[in-house]
Amino acid sequence: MPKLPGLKSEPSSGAYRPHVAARRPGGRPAVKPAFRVLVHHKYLAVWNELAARVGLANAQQFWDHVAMTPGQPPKVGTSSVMKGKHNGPKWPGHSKAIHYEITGAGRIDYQFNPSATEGALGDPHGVVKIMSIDLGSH
Amino acid sequence: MTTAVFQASDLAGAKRRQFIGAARQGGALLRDIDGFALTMVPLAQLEAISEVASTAVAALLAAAALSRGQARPAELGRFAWLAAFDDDDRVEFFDELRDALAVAEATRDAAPVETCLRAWRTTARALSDPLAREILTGLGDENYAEVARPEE
Repeated sequence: MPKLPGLKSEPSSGAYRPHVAARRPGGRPAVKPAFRVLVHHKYLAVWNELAARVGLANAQQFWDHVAMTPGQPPKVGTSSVMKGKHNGPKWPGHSKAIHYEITGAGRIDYQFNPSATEGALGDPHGVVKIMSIDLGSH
Repeated sequence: MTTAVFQASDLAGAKRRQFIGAARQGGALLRDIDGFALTMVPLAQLEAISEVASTAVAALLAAAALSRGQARPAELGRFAWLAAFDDDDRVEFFDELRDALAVAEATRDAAPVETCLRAWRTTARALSDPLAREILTGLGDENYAEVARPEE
């Protein structure tokens, strides 16, 4: 069967290629993320379990939200600004802390900065810092 | 506000639809034969009024318990989660709740109260976890690592 130009190699029908990773359903995001997503080291293990615990779709919806529009209400799930005196920015230029609730599955707390200049290059870029994750109390 | 007044006999006559229409618009007052007054209002409004009333009472009881000093969470009733906050934050909470109750009462819509309570409860849950509390209430550190989009 001739290959069509522009298409990456696709397995032919019925072919089994054990060393080729399956593509993620839905493909990658169409646009480049506007924010780098960082997770506190103490929650990296929980982050690594996120997709398994809340489902891949929920995990990706959260990531897409914070990577693109962390300051807006999410299309899926709910978010609210942290209450009380401790909700303020932990770093210059950052937002107040935001609670993102994955419906019936957990809560992720983060702050974001649309024009951070942290890092070795010092170039301006958006950054989201995930401060805590709770997948156990919902 | 209930303004339209009907008689019990109206329910069997042509005014029945007017009675229902007035109730759907916000309230219809029905006078029984002995003058006993009954009101029909939309269910959503009745639920909002009940929610405003019960929340206001619970808030008053919790505030009273807190004013006596070290209140145990059980003494705060449905606001037991306020134990996660200090005095300053509780003052802020009661200020916000009072405003939300006033708006809800005026509009007969409990949404402002529900939004206020949900947001404060969410923060209380976050602060009840020792590790999360340490990070959320502490100074910002640089112990962060970049992560990629979750994939299969």
